[in-house]
Amino acid sequence: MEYSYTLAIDSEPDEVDDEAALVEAAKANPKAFEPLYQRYKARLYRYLLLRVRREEDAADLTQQVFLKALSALPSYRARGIPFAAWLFRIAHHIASDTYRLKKSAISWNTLSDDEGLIAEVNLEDHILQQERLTHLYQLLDQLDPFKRELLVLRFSAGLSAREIALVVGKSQPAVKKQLTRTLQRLKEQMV
Amino acid sequence: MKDQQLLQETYADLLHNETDPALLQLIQDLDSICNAPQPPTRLNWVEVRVMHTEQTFEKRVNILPFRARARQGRFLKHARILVAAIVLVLVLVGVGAVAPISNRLGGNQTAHAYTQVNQMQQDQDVKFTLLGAYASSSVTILVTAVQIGNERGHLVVPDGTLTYQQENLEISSASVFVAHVSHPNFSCQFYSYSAAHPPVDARTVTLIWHVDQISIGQLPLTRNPGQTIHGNWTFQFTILFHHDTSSPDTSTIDLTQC
Repeated sequence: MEYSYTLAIDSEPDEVDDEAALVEAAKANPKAFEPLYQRYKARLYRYLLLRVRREEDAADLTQQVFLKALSALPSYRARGIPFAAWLFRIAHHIASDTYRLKKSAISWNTLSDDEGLIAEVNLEDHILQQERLTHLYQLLDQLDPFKRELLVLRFSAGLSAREIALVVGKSQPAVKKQLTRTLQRLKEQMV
Repeated sequence: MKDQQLLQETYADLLHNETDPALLQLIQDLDSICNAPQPPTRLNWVEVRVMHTEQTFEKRVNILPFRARARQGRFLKHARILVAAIVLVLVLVGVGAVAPISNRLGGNQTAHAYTQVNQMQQDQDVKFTLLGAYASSSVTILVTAVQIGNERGHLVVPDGTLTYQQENLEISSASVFVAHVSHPNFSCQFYSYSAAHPPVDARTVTLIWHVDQISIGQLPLTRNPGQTIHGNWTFQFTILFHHDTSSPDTSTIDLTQC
């Protein structure tokens, strides 16, 4: 039996902006995946953080998602499913598996200390904003996980309703309707 | 925090051109909450690339793969190492068998030479000799001979670190592949690590190989995990770096020194 460990030939990817071209380049040479990694790293991390609620886990899972995507990339076909939806579908499955394993009661409030949320506002505005966000955190915690997932995919991952539909396996109108209803309900509860 | 115009552009599908201030405020808050966390600096592409390379390597070489993740407990790690070694070790007796196993590790499709190192370190009764090493964009391979007391026929699995000195980057923690070639008169160990990533103009790499523990498999192989010896065997050496994924030519290392 012959063994070989010759890997893909490393060559610098051409400067390409088009995502489809980046994907095709990465299929031919895994090293060319880097622009896609940089493009989606923060979005994936935020999505996973809001799913699993622990920074360490979210960071590990982000790397896992990219590793899995890189391995599965040869079988990815652009027709029918955008790359972002395909990538977040991997993340969705990995996060769901992790969530099932660690169904811990870590509150959404663990994210509320982030100074990045606080804009430069005066003290009174700041207090009001904190109260509003705290209330919103509580409402989000009480949300049905599926509705919360839709919000995270829309706001954190930045996916469109069509892409979200592909990630969660629902129709686009159903996703759009659910998002609108959830926002409407939250708005009423925030008042 | 996004300004109102950007917010309306980003979430046009949710706002439906509405000017409802409460909805706009809610979307602003959700956007702030969901986009505030910043990924930690430890998230980097190189780690993914290295892990992927290792996976690819494992699929293609299939010689004694085992993972020695730094996070795993030492006991578990060694248990796994030895089980893998015992189950999968390739013990080839006879001079004729050396060439095939060498080809698996090196192959002679391309002729890249190992750099001779010939450094010896001894601690207690364990004499480690690093005969040579090879580094390319896909792999780093160390070829060693280990003598324990007066015996040289052991399968030795090292535990420690391989550090790429220029970047102070540890490259050893992920995977090691071991192939053991034995002959009545000599026994060599090949340790294959993930690749270093020197600058594109680097012609050499300096590596520091620090072994602080070895696990010894018995020959003939059994499922007995064998003996563990703690010590300090450290090698620092500079070798040529091949900026391609070519295989090393194992005929360029003198296995009879083992």
